[in-house]
Amino acid sequence: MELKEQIEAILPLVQKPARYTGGELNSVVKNKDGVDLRFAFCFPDTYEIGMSHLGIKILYSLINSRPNYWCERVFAPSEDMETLMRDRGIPLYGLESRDALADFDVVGFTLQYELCYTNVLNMLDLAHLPLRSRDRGDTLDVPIVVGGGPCVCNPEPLADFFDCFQIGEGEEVMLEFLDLLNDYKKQGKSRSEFLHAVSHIEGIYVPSLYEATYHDDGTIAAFTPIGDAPAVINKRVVADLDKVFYPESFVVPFVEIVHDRVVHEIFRGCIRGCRFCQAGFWYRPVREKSVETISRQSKRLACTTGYDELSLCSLSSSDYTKITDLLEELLDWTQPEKINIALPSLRIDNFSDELKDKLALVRRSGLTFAAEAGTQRLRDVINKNITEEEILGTCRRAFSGGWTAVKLYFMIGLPTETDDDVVGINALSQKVVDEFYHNPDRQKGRAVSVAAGVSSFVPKPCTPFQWEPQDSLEELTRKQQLLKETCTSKKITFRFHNTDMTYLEGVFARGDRKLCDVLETAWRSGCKFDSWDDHYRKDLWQAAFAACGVDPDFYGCRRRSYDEILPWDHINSGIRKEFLKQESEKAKQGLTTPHCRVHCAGCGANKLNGGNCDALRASSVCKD
Amino acid sequence: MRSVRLRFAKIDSARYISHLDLTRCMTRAFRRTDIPLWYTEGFNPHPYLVFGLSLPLGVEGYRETLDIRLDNEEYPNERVLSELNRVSVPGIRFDEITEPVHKAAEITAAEYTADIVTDGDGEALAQQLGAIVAAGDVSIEKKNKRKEIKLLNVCESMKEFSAEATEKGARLHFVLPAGGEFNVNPVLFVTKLLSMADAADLPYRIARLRFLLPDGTEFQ
Repeated sequence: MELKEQIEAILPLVQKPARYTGGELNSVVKNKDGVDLRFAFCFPDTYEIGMSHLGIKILYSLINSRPNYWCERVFAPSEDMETLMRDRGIPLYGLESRDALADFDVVGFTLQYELCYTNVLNMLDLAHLPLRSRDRGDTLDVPIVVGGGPCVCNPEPLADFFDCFQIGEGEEVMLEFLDLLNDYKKQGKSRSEFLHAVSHIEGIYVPSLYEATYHDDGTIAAFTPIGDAPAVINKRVVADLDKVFYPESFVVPFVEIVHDRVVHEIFRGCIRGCRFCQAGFWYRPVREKSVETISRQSKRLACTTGYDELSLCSLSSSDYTKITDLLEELLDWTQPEKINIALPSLRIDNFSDELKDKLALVRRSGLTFAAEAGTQRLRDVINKNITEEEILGTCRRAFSGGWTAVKLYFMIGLPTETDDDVVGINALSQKVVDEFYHNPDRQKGRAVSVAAGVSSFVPKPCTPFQWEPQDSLEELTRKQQLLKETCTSKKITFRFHNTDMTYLEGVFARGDRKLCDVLETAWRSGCKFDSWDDHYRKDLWQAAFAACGVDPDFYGCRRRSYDEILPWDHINSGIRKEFLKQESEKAKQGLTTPHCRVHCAGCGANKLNGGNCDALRASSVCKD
Repeated sequence: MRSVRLRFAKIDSARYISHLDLTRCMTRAFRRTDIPLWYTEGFNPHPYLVFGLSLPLGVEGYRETLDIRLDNEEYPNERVLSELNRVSVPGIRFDEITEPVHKAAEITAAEYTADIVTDGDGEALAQQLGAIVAAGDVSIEKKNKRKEIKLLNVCESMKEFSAEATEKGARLHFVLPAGGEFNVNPVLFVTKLLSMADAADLPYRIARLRFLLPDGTEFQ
């Protein structure tokens, strides 16, 4: 049987087959004989999660905007589908053409979180491709395996499996990368010739062109480029969000996905500088998209998709300098069209009455505030520059306005944390409850509900806390227990993260190349979908670390010295290491750093953008 | 405000769109057109869309019905069809627009075909399947209203059945009870029949051709 018939035969046997058929609205089908390059864009999680991701929508449309390139989508099949595929020898295929991944020129993975790494190996295996880069031969007939996304700020635990990584924002580097591959394929060049040449494109990292040596204690002795590969790989940055490519249409799925709506990124980067937050540093410098562009592009997307909801996304939506203007402009056409606007990632402190009035027009859901820590001392350590009074004041206004549900986000295991800080989480949640009952304007006859999500802190590369030890499993579990025992109110519900997963995430976030073997061993023993409670296998992971002679605590629970060579030192995010050290020292002293519009802290991120940063530009006009 | 009945085909890969997903898919399709759909006037306005009968996942439909309400008396019927076909997804095609004559509750049966693919002898397969039905007992498990599982002999309520050889295998043609009162799922019938013929592995494709009224004429 042909592959297409084999696929047809198993579709009736699986749950939600529309995840595996393709043919959704706005999906792009081209004639494979009429294109030069075929790109399989892989998301190492299920269809519902992958299809919700904005990056894949942008790059899918971008690649397909070139008539001679064809990009298709690939997701991790669910258990039932995978079993049938393996039983019948059906390889992983692109949804648009239903051709096997081996027929493609490039297989690209977006790496959004560390716990998807086993899925990457599983998908390569399902695609019948060699797992390790060195086993793919010296030919461009085997697809080039490339990775991108935020995890590439430390790609080392995946170094052996990828031919190259795109560091930073893909909108420009993607086409340069593909154009070079197209040239090299036409000239009949070898794989090694291509990888050597592509390593000279700014933002491309070819891990096989570097050699790591280690001290006896396991730390890195030297990380050396082989030949003329660049010693440091600079993150790619898009200069102007108004001019950069943005899709005119999104693929609209049949099955319900997690974020089923028009999504628009209103700015990149973040002015805040919270010291735990990788995204806040990695996506710098700050660049805003104009009100006019956002409105025009969103309108076009609503038109081509038929969606009835528009979500504005960014790391901190209310920091968008013209947020009120933007909402006004959008409401102008979304209200007659019966389109809802959703505005996640709002900060507590600048949640003005004016903005709240506008929000009341758009969509009424729970209020969500990221307080992150329970005491002011610890909030100062992490540079989360909000005060208890700001939190309570915002809640007061919200309760007067009729809101009755508040979601709070906290972390445990932050550097310098004491038990006082942990129980402070409960104390703050209780104060929010009290605030409701002391409010004469509250909605009568309704109880307040405070849902506190408590995750565990993972120190990440490219942050001031990259040298910090992570709390041990036992310590995190003890702190969770302590917090549970402290809480007496039925109005407060705590939701905790699985500490085992947090620990594993911490190991891979700051891991080096020695983890490649652990990863493969764990996957071979059956690990996949590690971020899913029903799939995560602690026993198999422990066995994998033991089998490879790797101590996970070395990566998770060890304090690094400032002069240690870190596995990601050759990846330049633009943020100066000196700046991170300064911030780390200030954290230890409990000193805060004002946000970028008050005072530029000199992080250095604007260097990769020709010295430009919208936070600097806005500081001259912004009142606060 | 006026009601119209659309007839559409849902075939090929669109047969894997579930009924719940189809409602969302249709709502979005209308939003991509300039068709003046009538919205309910409640707190949360939504368009009025009523399907004749839901289609089991994986089954194709050739004359499925969708009733809608238009907010504009003047909007031409042909334009409803052309607009919908302009924005429709692959596998969904709008063929007719009429005034509704019957109520969906009057549907009592539906006509189906099932194409079975085999590398073997299609003629023999058709004869074998015909013989099983002729013997008069193809029993499937069906839940009754108290959620108890009961055996139901499909042959007792099946109105027509024929089997013939085709180029790729065999084609069944049959009429089963359909509608809110008493419905027999054609997928359960075909899979049971194939397993009784030791042919459970053969790929098949079922299509619903049209809805029927108690007198055997087509639902209009």
